[in-house]
Amino acid sequence: MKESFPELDFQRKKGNFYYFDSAATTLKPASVIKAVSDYYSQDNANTRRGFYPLALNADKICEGIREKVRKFIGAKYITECIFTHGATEGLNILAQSIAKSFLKADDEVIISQLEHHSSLLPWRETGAKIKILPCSLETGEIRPEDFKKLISSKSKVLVLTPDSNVIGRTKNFEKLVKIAKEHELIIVADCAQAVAHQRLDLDKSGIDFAAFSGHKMYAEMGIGVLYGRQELLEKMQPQLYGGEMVEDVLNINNIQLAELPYRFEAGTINLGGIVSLGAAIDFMKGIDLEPLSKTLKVILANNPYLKLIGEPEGPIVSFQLEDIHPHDVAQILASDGICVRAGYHCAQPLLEEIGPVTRVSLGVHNTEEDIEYLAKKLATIRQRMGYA
Amino acid sequence: MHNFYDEVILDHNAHPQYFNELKNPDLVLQAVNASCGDKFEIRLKLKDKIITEASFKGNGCAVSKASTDILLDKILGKSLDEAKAFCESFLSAVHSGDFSALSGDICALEGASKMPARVKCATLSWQTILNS
Repeated sequence: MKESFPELDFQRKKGNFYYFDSAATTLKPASVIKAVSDYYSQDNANTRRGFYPLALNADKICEGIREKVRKFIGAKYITECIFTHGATEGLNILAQSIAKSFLKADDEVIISQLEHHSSLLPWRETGAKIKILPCSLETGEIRPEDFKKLISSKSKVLVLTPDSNVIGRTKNFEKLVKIAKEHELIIVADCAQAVAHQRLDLDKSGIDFAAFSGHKMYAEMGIGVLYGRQELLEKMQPQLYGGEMVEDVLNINNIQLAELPYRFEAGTINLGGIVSLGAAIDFMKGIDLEPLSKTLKVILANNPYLKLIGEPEGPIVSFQLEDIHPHDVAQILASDGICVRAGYHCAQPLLEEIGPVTRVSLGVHNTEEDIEYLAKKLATIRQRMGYA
Repeated sequence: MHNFYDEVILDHNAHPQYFNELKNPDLVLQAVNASCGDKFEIRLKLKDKIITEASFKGNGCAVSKASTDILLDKILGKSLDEAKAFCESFLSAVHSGDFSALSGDICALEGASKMPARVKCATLSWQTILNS
């Protein structure tokens, strides 16, 4: 698998390079880079605007990949897959559009404490009343009984990620979705991490709206997908207006929106990014990070000074090392050629109590040898910082 | 990569001289860097406008902790205005990368000026004194 990533080769010619920051952005496979290069070398044209063969071919490429995305995330209809520039844009569009279309004054939005700022802060701007659904950092659990207690007759939306960018898989996710359904809440899921772990089956999952980025699943930066159930999207107003999202502009007060999904894709879409997304989906077929994720936890747990946060499951693991600030851990590891992330990870409400953490996240290029090297270097840090 | 975890930083981090809690301080300052979780309470005692005792308590990375310990050592015996002027000269050295006018343990913080992500760690408490 390592040979699939030119950046690994390039960096390793300069020295040690162990990349454990796929949750921030994945390395890019050669097949994705080639697909994008081929597109710009041979097929570049704007979509839904031209009558010449090149433009028609661009439409074909775009819709072919939209269908590929639909299958990949388990959406029912192709019209439910909207191309955006990334998860943050998608989550902002969703918050604004859902608030305007479905919420009344005093309605409540229940948001899990696990959420990334991108999934939390857009709701603050809607004026809706926000209730935070707590998560234990000891067990990593959101308790269904806590959720039930929070729900009132004013509750209309649950915002809950299937995979946290700090503590990995969200425990009790299915149970929480079931409770939300029983109370007829709209479910919005930030799937930025879950999509990279190939865990999405959106139509069956009960999730009503989702958003993710391409760059955390081996595609380019600047491309993303917003998913919404067709029956709900049909009732919603777009947040971005511009070219190709209207069927007709009779006059400034009388416009007819384009059909789904185009009414939510104002302006020129990033077809180069969409091509990369298609190539990334092909690349990801058959990849399973689960065995390596288990190995990571077993090896890290051998360090007596290291505390894993929230009994993590999946390829994202955060920890604190006794006496050593996470920024120091990350910087010392960097001097050994190891790339990890440290801090609050844009999830400050989750980490407020325990402070910053160091995060290790796996990608398909990682191996057991990589993890052993990481563990070996982690074991030296306290001594290097002057602690016994 | 520049190694700024040299012996001076490590020593001030692991064995800080001023890491305690002064009783009855004349001035209490909060040094907070919310983005990375560093949080120190700096306490000063003044006599005839001169800083006679200093302490700090809280949590932070090795750089911010060592930097605060070095700072408190340097401002003892100075008036608050003199301390602020001193902090200003340090901050300008960090931002310009020119430490030639400084001497002693303070020069161990030079590495921070070469890493934008750690400048805040090195300057947190100095900026707090300057803003007091």
